Amino acid sequence: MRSRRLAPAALAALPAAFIGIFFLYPLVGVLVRSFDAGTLLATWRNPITADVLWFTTWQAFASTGLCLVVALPTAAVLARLRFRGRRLVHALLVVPFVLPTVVVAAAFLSLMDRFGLADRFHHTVWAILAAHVFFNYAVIARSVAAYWSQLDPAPEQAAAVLGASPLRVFGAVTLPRLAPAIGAVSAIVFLFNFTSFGVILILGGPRRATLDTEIWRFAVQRLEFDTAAALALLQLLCVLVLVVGATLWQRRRHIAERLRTDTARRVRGSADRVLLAGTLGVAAAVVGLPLAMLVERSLRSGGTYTLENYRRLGQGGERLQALFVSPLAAIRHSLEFAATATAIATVGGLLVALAVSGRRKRGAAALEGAFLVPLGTSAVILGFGMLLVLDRPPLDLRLSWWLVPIAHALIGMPFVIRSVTPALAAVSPRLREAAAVLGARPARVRREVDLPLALRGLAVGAGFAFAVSLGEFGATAFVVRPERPTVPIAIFRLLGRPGEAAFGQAMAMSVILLVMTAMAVLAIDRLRPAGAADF
Amino acid sequence: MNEPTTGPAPSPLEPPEPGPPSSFRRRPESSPGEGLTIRDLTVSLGGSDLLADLDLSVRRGEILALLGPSGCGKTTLLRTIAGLQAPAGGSVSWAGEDQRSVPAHRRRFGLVFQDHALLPHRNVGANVAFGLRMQKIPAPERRRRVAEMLHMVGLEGYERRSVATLSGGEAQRVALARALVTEPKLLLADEPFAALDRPLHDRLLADVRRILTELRQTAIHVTHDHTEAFAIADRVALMRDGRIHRTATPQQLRDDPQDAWTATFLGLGTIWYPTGGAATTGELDTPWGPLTLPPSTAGKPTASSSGDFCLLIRPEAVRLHRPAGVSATVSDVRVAGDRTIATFHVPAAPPVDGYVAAGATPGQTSTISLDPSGVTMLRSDAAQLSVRFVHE
Repeated sequence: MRSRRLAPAALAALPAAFIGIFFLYPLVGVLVRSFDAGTLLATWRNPITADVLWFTTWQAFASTGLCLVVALPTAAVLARLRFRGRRLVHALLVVPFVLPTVVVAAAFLSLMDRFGLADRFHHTVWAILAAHVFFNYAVIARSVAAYWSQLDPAPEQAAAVLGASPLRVFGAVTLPRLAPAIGAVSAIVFLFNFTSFGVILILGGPRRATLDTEIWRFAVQRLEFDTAAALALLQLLCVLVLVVGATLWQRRRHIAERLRTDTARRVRGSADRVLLAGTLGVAAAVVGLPLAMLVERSLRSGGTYTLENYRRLGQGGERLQALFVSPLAAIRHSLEFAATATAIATVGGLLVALAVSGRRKRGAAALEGAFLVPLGTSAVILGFGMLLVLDRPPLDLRLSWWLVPIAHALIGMPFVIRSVTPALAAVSPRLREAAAVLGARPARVRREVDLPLALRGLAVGAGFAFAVSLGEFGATAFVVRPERPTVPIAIFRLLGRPGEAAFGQAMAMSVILLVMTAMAVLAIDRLRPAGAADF
Repeated sequence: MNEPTTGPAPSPLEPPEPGPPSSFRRRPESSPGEGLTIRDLTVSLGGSDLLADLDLSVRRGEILALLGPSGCGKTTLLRTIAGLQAPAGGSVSWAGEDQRSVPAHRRRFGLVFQDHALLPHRNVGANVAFGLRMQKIPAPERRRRVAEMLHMVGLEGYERRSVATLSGGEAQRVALARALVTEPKLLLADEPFAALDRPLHDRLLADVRRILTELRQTAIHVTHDHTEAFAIADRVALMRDGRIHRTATPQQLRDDPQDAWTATFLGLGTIWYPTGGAATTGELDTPWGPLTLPPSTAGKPTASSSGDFCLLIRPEAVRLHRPAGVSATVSDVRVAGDRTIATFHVPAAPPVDGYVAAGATPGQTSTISLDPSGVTMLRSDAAQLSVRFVHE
């Protein structure tokens, strides 16, 4: 009995050590550095800091508001109407969320370039807002629609019978009922926008800086670690306030709804059809147009359609000046890093999930929560922390190949935990007991029962970890070695080069990264647990 | 090694016998030593006792039915025997050896779950072979024993079938095969037929009884259905509120239920509590007329005063068309098996069931009397008594 209770804790020891060394230790390093330096207050009092904080905050508010305006009508249609291809639309809407920030930024650059808007909008807040809408439109639409479609329509019908007009019903009944879902997703989207990095760095230019881009500028470009640490502390405090505030708000606004399965109704009548067509049009415009323009731009060089941009990548591209290495080498690096990061994240995440599943409810939630923290921390802080503390023995990893995959694994592990834990929770305890009575030791039960049944969840988590690693930019920008760039880093460097050729190649590489990510996402969807035949 | 068809060498004690299971050793006719012994077993959950000071023993080769209403602790007892639930006190022992420190996976008891608990990622063959793999039985022998076991439960050639494609009855047979193929010391079955339709239920019940008897398998069969318990078991342990109420053969239970609770739970007939103080040596005044209790039940719990005994009036006690008797109104005419049963109402008496001719109609009046051979004297139940007093 005692050994059975100890075993889960032992399982989590390895991933716990990993998180402790590569996440908590760097985080503490950032805190210590910001207090030690003595420049903390000076940095905070600097009017430029106030400007940056102000811009960070208001662009996040504006982006979130804009996202809500664009996404809520889509959520309404997805929640209330049942139509052919509804599930496909749901599935396709995941794509923007997993796209690398660099690709999204590149897509918006090509969009502006295509319509001759580059001069007017590049390096303005409008480009940033648009890119944030692209990113988060699907997040809001999907999560609100999922909740909405499970709401019992009876209260709305009751209000209508009592004489409320449709608009009144929506305002007085539906909207308040949706408030918890909208609030929760808004908080998450605000967090994304507040800690946005790649999009702002590329589309915002030098005049538009947020806390995260400033941390990077001070740490990587100017090597002023003290100032960067002071800004990082400020960012951490803001995020903390935000998370605590959102949690409190949610607890207060919690509505006990008895959720039902999908309550959507079939499309009928021309009004429904117009509504549906309009919604799908908006979705296509928001998500599809920038990507289409990206592909189009990558195929254009010197005024004609050609594969020249791709050909140049194959020939080594701008290797000497911008990249130090060929674009193909960057692809190889990305794949190697992603494979390693996925392996670490998968093993670690699986161990955590097994440990969590062997525990009682409350302990399990706390344990799982502890391992999900890296997901709520911005990648920039993660990368900065690693840069700050992993530079002296015995952990002198500055020159190590491992730094990038380790950072990516930290970000990928929560995805694995989140997909494996529910799969394990769904395994009936009867099956474990049946195996035990038939003579399987507890470890054997895990191998024979839990592991095979959690395989699909594990594959999905691994796919996410892989896709996330391919596109990771924030942390990589801190810890990457100049001679071993990943694809997103290579794209970023190409975008920093003057000239039409470099821009075209950046677009071509973005398309390649887009395809790589899309393939990982498709694989997630296709993977099924291996059949049963080891008799 | 020049006997490729037989598995383990046949024991000299065992003459070779005809019949399908060649390698499944039947347990010796009279096994030395005892089987399962449970003493003072207490299992608690959240401060309340699910099982309290429970005693039970099962002889080797015996099929014991554990019968009781829902929530009486049958499943808890089974899980405790299997080692899936830790007792708060008492002991579970097999052949005199305490099993408390033996984890479930080393007890070598077989367990058949109500919901089968077949591993969904393994096919039928792999499910049945699971326990043999755990015992590190080599693959060729494993395959042979699985095939034989599947043959025995009537699922020959099902090895490669996915468990998702099985019907309820087939899944139950696979679960049984999976438990039996490891030759468990004790087979525990937790309401294995509860979810099956009646014909399938009856057929499977007969099959299982045959297989268990053939193998001389010691088994505990949990059920809330007394017909099932009577059909499968050598002995029945009646369970009530976390204790074993009584252990007896099906025959003993039916002929002499001893108390009102047992008779009610087994559905043997109507319980009548004598009211007036007229009970003396076996002469009773009942709403259905005077009754002379047969000698077989006289001298049972003292009939000296009313209140501590009651009568079980079985359907066969109710006689129609006698010259003497009381007038009763008929209701609820229904078919039970190959006979017809009706309920008879007499003023100031509980309704009693009796067999009638097929043509009886509700609402008609009949003259009925009681035949003493269908009446059994019982101890009244404390709980029943208090309820009765509240009503009066």
